[in-house]
Amino acid sequence: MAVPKRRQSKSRSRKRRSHNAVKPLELAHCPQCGTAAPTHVVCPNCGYYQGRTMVEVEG
Amino acid sequence: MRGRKLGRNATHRKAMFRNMACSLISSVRVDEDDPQAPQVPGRIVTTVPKAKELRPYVEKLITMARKARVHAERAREFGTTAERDSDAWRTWRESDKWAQWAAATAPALALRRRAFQLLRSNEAVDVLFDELAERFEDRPGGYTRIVRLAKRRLGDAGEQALIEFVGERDRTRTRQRSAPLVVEDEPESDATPAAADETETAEAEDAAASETEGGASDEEKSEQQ
Repeated sequence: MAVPKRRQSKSRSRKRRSHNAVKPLELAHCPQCGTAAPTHVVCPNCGYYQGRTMVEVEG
Repeated sequence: MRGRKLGRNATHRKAMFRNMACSLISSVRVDEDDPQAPQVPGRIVTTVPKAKELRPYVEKLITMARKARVHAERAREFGTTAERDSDAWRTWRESDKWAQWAAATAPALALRRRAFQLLRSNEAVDVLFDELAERFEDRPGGYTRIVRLAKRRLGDAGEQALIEFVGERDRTRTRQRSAPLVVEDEPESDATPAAADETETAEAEDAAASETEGGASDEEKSEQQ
């Protein structure tokens, strides 16, 4: 079976992983209550979406 | 195959869509006394891909119900209101009217049976043909709405969405489709901000109107509860 001849250096591993970073979520603020949430979703805080309340939030 | 497989085999998928469509359609009719009654009528929460696959399934059912409505309407003039097995009913049953009624109802009945094949629930078929067909009589397709939810599903972090029948909580058009008219004799730099102001005020009014509507519906709901 094929086996690696050499242990990979830290540099080589890290160079490979240089593109693996996770980007932060692009959040938008709800126009009604200002909560940050992903775009194109119902506001998790007030249930607002595109001009009307989609989900009634208790309290 | 057409559409997503959703990690299931054919029978599993078929059963799942049947269950989901049945749940969505039955949720339109809410029994207030039932402790497990849906909180919002005519809506289910599921994952985004499942909702997207469910949409054509349900919309085809509604089209079936709408088509059946025409035949049912035509059959009504030959029908009878007499109770079954009463004398009036017997005379109707033996008259030509019954044959005409049967011929007129046949397509509606066939459609109803086709819908039952897909739902396997008499309750859901009743809701579909009695309530939803009437509700969407004049709407040429597009009976459902899918809206994404911010909260991911617990466990697999699946993207959740709600699918519901349109007609309630519809978007009010706040912006004009076409660009505001620019009057030629005024310089454009003057005309554009004025037009923009107008649309803004219109938007504000619309928003205010929708807010008051929302408030009214909230009150109604609380009264019902």
